[in-house]
Amino acid sequence: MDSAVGRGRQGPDVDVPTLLGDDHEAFETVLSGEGTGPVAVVGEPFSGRGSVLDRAVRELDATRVSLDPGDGVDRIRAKTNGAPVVIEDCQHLYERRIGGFEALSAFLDDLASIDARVVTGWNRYAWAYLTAVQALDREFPVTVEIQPLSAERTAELVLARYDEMPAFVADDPERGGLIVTTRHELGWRDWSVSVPVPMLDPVVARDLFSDGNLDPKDVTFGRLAAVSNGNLGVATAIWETHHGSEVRPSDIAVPASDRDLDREEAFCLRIVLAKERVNRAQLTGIVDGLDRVLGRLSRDGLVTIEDGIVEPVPAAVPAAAATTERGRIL
Amino acid sequence: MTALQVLVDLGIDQEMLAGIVGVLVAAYLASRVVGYALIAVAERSPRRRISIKMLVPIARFLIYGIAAFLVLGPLLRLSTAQLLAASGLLGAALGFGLKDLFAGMIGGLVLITERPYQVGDKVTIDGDYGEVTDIGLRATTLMTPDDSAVRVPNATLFTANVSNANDGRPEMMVVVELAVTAGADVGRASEIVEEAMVTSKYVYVDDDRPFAVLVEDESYYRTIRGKAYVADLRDEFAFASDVTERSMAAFASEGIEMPEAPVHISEHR
Repeated sequence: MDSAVGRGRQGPDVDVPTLLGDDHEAFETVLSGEGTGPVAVVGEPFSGRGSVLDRAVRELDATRVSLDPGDGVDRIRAKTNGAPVVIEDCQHLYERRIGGFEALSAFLDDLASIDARVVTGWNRYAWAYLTAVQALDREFPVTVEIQPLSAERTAELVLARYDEMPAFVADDPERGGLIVTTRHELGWRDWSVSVPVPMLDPVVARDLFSDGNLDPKDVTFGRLAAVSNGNLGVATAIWETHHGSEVRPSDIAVPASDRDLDREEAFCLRIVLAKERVNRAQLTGIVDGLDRVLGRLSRDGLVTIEDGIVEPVPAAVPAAAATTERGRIL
Repeated sequence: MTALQVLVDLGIDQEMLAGIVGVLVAAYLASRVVGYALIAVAERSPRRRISIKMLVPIARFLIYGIAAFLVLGPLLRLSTAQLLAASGLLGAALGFGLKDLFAGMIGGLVLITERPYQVGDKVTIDGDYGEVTDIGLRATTLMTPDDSAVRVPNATLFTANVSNANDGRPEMMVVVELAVTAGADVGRASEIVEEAMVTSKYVYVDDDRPFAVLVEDESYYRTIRGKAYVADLRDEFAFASDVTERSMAAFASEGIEMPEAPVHISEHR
């Protein structure tokens, strides 16, 4: 069995028109030599940004520069010689600290004087942050974004990885109730009581309004596309986490911790999400109580830490993004 | 005349009294439960936190209004003599002892309709600065930065200026001020303050919430004033502290001198 996540952080191979959607035309224009100025390819972690950059390398016969955590502008300068260049993972050019924008600033200065075609790849969260605080988008006249995949396309691409098809089974309507009860502490002065609060189960409630004759496979991949935000790398990781010989729509869920993250944890998670790979040492001066924070995020299944590199867990990216956006962390 | 005799004269028997007490207790419990539920929902939705919390005093007004109607309904079927007695008592009470309470309640009604501030806003009322934690029938409660609860009568609204730092939005601008000596590299110092703001874990920036750094030349030093928004106004002081601490550390490491004598930092926010 092939593992999408195991194939590296670029994510699975998908055709570029599918990935770019309406932005594909603008990208083709760039590859055909029309237009001027550097190009930014922006996408979520594991969404297949690498496939788009692969295409640019082939079409432009360009030099490829893959940046790693801690890399600076010198690594780019060493490989630029007037020929087209494709620079991957440009989010490693900044750090979220005082003095952390120097490499990015030098890179943007260089970019202004390069005549050759330059295609750059950016993490979506890093791009949003740098656009807000450094007006990064002004330096890139052409920006293309990886688009969410449809449920049908997600099904095709996920299932294409396997020789054997699982059996798709409809959810048992008796299995879960419409009302889910959670308990909340209600306190007054020194007195408190745990009060049951009934809430509608959104999945069961949605099923109530469906016609009930939907193909379980369609429902399963509809849910997979929805929970993964159409991100193929994430969808594949969620699929691999849950599927067996028999798959029910309710098996598809984003792994998420029950507890709310505090500000420090959410901030650390946002940095990991934006950088995709980050040195633990780089986080030391930024996140207070780093060891404990990373320990908790790791236990919650949101990040992995290996050889001093912190990375987001692919299947947990939607939960991580939702958590940090709920906390309105830039 | 005893209180019991007054009640009897007003035509309130034991059964009715029990009903009135029941309605008041139910109104109290309902206001607590609705308030708790709305606050719980508000905390789960940071973007609409203040909008949802704004409903708390409205819901309480409605609940107590319904309770008042239920209580006064039977009482209004009074004979002419009883009506005169009751209105005389009410008029005297309002005229003397309850004048301020009545003014506070009218102020509360104006607060609900005009909304100069809402629960969750950071306001200055008559010199007191803090977060509005409750708008009651008679008074508004502010929680000051020192965690003191200040009860400001709603009637103050008619006589004092009210300054609202966020006006119902979850974000608010925070101003951070640092001083450097006249000979310091003020350009680099400004860059440091700007980078300290935009790299803070509390900052919020978009097209409508920009950040800025201003430099003011004083006689013997220069003031660098950084302005940026925090995503949650409750992080106001944490943000200011974070930016100040990291800016000062960067000043020290880059040899940017700060004046040794204490300088005046305005309280403007």
